[in-house]
Amino acid sequence: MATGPAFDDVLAAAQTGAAWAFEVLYRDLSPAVTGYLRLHGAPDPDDLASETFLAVFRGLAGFSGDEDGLRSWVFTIAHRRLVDDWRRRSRRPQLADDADDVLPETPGGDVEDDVLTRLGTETVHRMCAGLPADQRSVLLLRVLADLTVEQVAAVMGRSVGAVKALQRRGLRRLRAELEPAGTPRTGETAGTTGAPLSARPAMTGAR
Amino acid sequence: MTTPADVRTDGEAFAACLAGRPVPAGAQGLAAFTDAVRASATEPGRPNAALAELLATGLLVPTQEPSRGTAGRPARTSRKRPHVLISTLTAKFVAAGAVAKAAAAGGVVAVALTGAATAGALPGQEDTAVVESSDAADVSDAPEDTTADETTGTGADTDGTVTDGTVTDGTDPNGTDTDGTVTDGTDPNGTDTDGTVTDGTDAGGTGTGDTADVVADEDGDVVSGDPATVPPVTEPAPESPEGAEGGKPTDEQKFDRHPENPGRAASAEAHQRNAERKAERAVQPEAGTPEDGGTEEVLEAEQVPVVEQPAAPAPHTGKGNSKK
Repeated sequence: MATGPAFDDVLAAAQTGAAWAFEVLYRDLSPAVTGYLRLHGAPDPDDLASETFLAVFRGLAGFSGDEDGLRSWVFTIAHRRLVDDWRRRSRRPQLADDADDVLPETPGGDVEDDVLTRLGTETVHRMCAGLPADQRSVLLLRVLADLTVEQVAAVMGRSVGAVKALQRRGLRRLRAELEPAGTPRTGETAGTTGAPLSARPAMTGAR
Repeated sequence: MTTPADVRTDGEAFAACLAGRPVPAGAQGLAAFTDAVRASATEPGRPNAALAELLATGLLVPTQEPSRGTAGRPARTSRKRPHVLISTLTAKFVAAGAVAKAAAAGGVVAVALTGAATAGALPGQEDTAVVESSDAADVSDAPEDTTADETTGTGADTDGTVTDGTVTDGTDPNGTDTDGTVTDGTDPNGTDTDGTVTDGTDAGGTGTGDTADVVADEDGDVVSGDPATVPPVTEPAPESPEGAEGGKPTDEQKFDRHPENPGRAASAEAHQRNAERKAERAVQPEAGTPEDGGTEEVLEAEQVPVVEQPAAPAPHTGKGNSKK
């Protein structure tokens, strides 16, 4: 975490409601949380992340723990907000007409770099969309949130063995999807591995 | 076909990717995936309005706790402390003049005496109270004709009671004796609940009259006109030996017991007058019974026929202006 050794001071200030401490925590945790929600196919990941941090800041006075504990707690809230959003949207299916929200806004300057970045992001979205929700959650929490298997189990409300099984199955599915097209290098365009991802994630409930 | 070795390789490669170590051969794809995932999550999201306001202004957290000095104590009615009040009063008393001091001391003594009298701490207070109560219960102050027919324990005043010095026919039909006379506890319709001689203080009319036919006199004997409706006696046993023996002290006896009670003579006089009046009343109806025609005779004798007599002309003494 970017807060480093000053985490205790930041946490104490945040628990007293200091705005600067909120901003420090938000800048440190928001990219991972927003990316986690976005790769899960949330229709409005920014709004969902905002709701998550509102809940975090309002309940921060009762938090006690270290930096890893705070990260695990924040992702627990984000995961539950995501599940709630899934359930809400499953009861009231909505048409996805805002395809622009799928891709993050990237500051551009070089058109070629922007296109490459977008294609790489689309590849990641497509691969994540091909995973079951539980396996995707395990892999994303392991990669984005840097959580251990035990912490992931706590976030998802599963046992450690179940999380390990989900991780193993997710990796096997990823390898099966990556092998036919060869191993892409980091930054390699997705055009070499397949068609660009244009479909929304399957979790939105859109028809 | 995935073998256990492949699974083990994937696990090791994934752990290496997460730890930042170099991945084994054949797992570059997995490493590339993890790098792409991390690269896609580098920008913070756009906060909504509520979160933006929270990030700008912070959160007002109620962190103040009540002070230990005032926690759990009720609010003081006066801000001045007791020792301050006492010292102020003392200083004012010392600075006052002699007359003011004397007045203050007198006031304090008066207040103390009043308080002591209220609490009953003064000597001789109980004796005074007894004397006052005995005076209040003195029958000699009551009207002379208090009770004409004292029948105790019968519950039926057949001939009526003398209430206010005059013979009435009556009875108190509703059992509300409010004329302040002595009642004999024989209210025919009402219930004399206390069963005591009220000596002129029964202004409340304890006899309700609603529970007719049941009369409880002062001895606790319940007398009823309807024997079938006699309730069980619930009055406590009499404390006096007479009551224990079965003797029932009447009102007359109670009057006699009083040390300063001349009610014996008064009662005798009242009895005598009452007997005379009864005799007179008994004679008058006998004389007027319709069987022997006495009534008509009396009426005839009393009603003397009026003979109309013409008025005699006044003697004319004038001398002469009349015309004839």
